[in-house]
Amino acid sequence: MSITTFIIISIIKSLAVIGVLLTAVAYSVWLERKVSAHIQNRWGPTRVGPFGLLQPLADGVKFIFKEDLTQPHVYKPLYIAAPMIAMVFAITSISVIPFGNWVSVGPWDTYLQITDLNIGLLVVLGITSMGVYGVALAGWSSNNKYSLLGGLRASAQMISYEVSLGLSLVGVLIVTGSLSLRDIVEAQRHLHWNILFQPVAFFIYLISAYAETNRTPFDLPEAESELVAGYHTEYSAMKFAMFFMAEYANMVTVACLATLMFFGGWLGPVFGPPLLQMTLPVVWFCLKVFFFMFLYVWVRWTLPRFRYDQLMAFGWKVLLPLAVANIVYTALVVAWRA
Amino acid sequence: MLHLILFLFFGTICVAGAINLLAQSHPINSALSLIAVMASLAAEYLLLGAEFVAAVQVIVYAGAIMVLFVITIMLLNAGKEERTRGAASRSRSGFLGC
Repeated sequence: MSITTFIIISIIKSLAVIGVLLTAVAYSVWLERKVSAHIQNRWGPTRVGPFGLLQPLADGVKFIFKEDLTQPHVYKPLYIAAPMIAMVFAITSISVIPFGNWVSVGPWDTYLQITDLNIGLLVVLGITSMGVYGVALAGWSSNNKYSLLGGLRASAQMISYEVSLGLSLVGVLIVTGSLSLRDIVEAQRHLHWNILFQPVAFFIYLISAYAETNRTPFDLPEAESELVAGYHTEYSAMKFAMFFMAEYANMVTVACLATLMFFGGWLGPVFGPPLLQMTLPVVWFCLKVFFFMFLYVWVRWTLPRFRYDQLMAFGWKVLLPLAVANIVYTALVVAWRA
Repeated sequence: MLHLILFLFFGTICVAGAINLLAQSHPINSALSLIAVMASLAAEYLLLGAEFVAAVQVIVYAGAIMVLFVITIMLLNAGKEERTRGAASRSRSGFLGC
């Protein structure tokens, strides 16, 4: 493959992935509103388009045309940079996520992934860990006690749960023996999904992922009853929308990672003509990710919020020891078999 | 060629970040420049072919240790440091000394 075709294919893939990601973000907001409405015996958005399907579009237009307020007491450079930091890191982590096997168009064939790094998982974890800065700096630069408390809570919570999140994935890595997300998926062929061998790791991952993305029952950084809106209290219009999009993009990434690590990624029954064989893996992948997105909403409207001391005690005294025990157990089993 | 250009680019960011870290009077700006130094160092490791070290550099230094720095600065609510007007000869001799 010449350098020109490589660049063209990379640009096409990047544009497609970012387009799909942003659409998915917009429609997961719609999904959230719709599902929450039905859980509470309401209708949800119905006015804009059939089933309110054009609601995300209307929301987007509203966010663009709203007045962008900047309070005089904020620390301006960081106040403006914070939502961008949050957004950039939320979107970047999708670049190493494989979402299908391969496609061939004419003489060219390519893997459905922007880049296949042999340290793919570490890249995702690294970028996610950098995402804390957006939230922390937003809270600090707003120069407001509610924002600061929200930012502090968010960063403390994200650092604490990142530890158990990372450790829960180590079990899978011991079983697979590779950090490349593509290899991890390939190792799960013939329904050898990691969820069957690492159920404890999966539930630790799921719980820490909810805390990582600041979702209920761990949404203390934006607890409305105590902190107004937490770290984004002072933000309006598109800056607020950027935090909103960053949160949902993080949810999509975490759902993708759960699918890849534990649910066999794009693997599933593949049959039919060549074109169908190329699209079916992507369909399986999207369905699995959709399931996790639905689970997010379901959990949010089922469970109440934790208290802050409960959150910290649960993270450090329950999840972390469990994750370490899971690593030791997995390592012992693998060593015994070998 | 591209390799060399990228290496020099990230090297420049690294050195500029380090100088900015010393020049800033607000602690949070200094902490942020230190993050830029760490991140560009990770990019340098990546260019040298040490991918694992690069990832660990980002996760441990930029992602964990620097977050603690930033949180500490936020918690203590450290403001802009005061500039004292010391003798120019002292600062010159300080530079010569190091």
